[in-house]
Amino acid sequence: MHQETIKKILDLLTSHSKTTHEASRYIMLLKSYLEAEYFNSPLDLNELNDAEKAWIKTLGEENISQTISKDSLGEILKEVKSAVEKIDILVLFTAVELTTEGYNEVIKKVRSLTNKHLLIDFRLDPTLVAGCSLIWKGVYKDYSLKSRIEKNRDLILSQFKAYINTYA
Amino acid sequence: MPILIAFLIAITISGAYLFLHFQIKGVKKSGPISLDDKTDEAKKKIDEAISKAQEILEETEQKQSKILEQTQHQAEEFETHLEEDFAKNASSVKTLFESEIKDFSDKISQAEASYLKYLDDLKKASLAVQEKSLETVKQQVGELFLRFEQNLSDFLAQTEQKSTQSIELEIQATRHLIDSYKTQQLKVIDENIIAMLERTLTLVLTKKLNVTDQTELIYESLEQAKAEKFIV
Repeated sequence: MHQETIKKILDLLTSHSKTTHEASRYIMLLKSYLEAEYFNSPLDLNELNDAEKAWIKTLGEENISQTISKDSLGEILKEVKSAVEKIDILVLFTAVELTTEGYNEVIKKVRSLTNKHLLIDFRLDPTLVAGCSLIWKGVYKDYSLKSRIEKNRDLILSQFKAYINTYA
Repeated sequence: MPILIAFLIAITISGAYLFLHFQIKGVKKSGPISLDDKTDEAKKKIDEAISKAQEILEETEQKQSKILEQTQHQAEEFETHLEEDFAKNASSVKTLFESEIKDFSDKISQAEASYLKYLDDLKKASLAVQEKSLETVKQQVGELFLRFEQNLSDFLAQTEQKSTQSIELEIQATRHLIDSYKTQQLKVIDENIIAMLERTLTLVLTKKLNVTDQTELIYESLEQAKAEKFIV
């Protein structure tokens, strides 16, 4: 019965949070938000950062307080926590630091391509030149421009040497 | 001769003593007699003995002189005879000795001649042996030199071959080293070119590409990962 709710919460979590630590933080925020909603107590947003504020805003937009009842809050949160711990983490290395919107767009793209709940851990690796490299279930794969240069190394070198011989 | 004389004197004195002894013994046997008679008898006897002894002595002296003369005469005769014999013997011995010496000198001459001949033969044989030895030595030296020359030429040929082989091996090894060094250096250059290219692209694209373009490239990478079924 709570599966739909849990799935919805997980969708929201994976679309906003990057790491399990962030997800855990967002679950706490969810709890605080719902308690504030149920007991009409104010929620102090001053201590929150922009991403967390955006998360709270999303919860309001999704009317999540309507979806989860007061009685089932504890149970649902517990199940969400255990589900979050089981989620696979995709480590994504980028060559440059993206904006928040950029990260969100990438998260959306990954969700659309994989159609599953997963958390994305964004990290910076300037040596990639452009594109990204991934670590999934302990396996590293490089899909960056650097790897493409390495794959076409001989071609690049031959072209380069031909250019040098022509114009040197 | 003097011994003979002394012997005769000793016999005389012994005779006189024995005579006196027997006289005294006869006196003792005759028994006890009166001292004065016997003394006079003894004196008479002694006087007789003395006179007899003197006579004997005189006789002896005469005989002695006679014997002496005879002996002397005999000695002279003997000496003469001896001298004659000696001379005779000496001459025969001398003759014999001379003949022996002559014989001996002849033998010596013969021995000398034969010895000289032997020496001469020995000299000739020695010369012959010397010449033969010289010839043999020359021949052996010639053979030795030939063998030495042969061995030396073989050794030089082998040494040349070995030197050539080792030099060729060295050249090959050096060429191999040069080639591997060249390859290694070209590899390093290629690595440097790629690294330089990556660095240049990193610097340039960071400035030239905007966030949208970067994001597009990330999308491309994700789609490639999806196509390879990396994320399942």
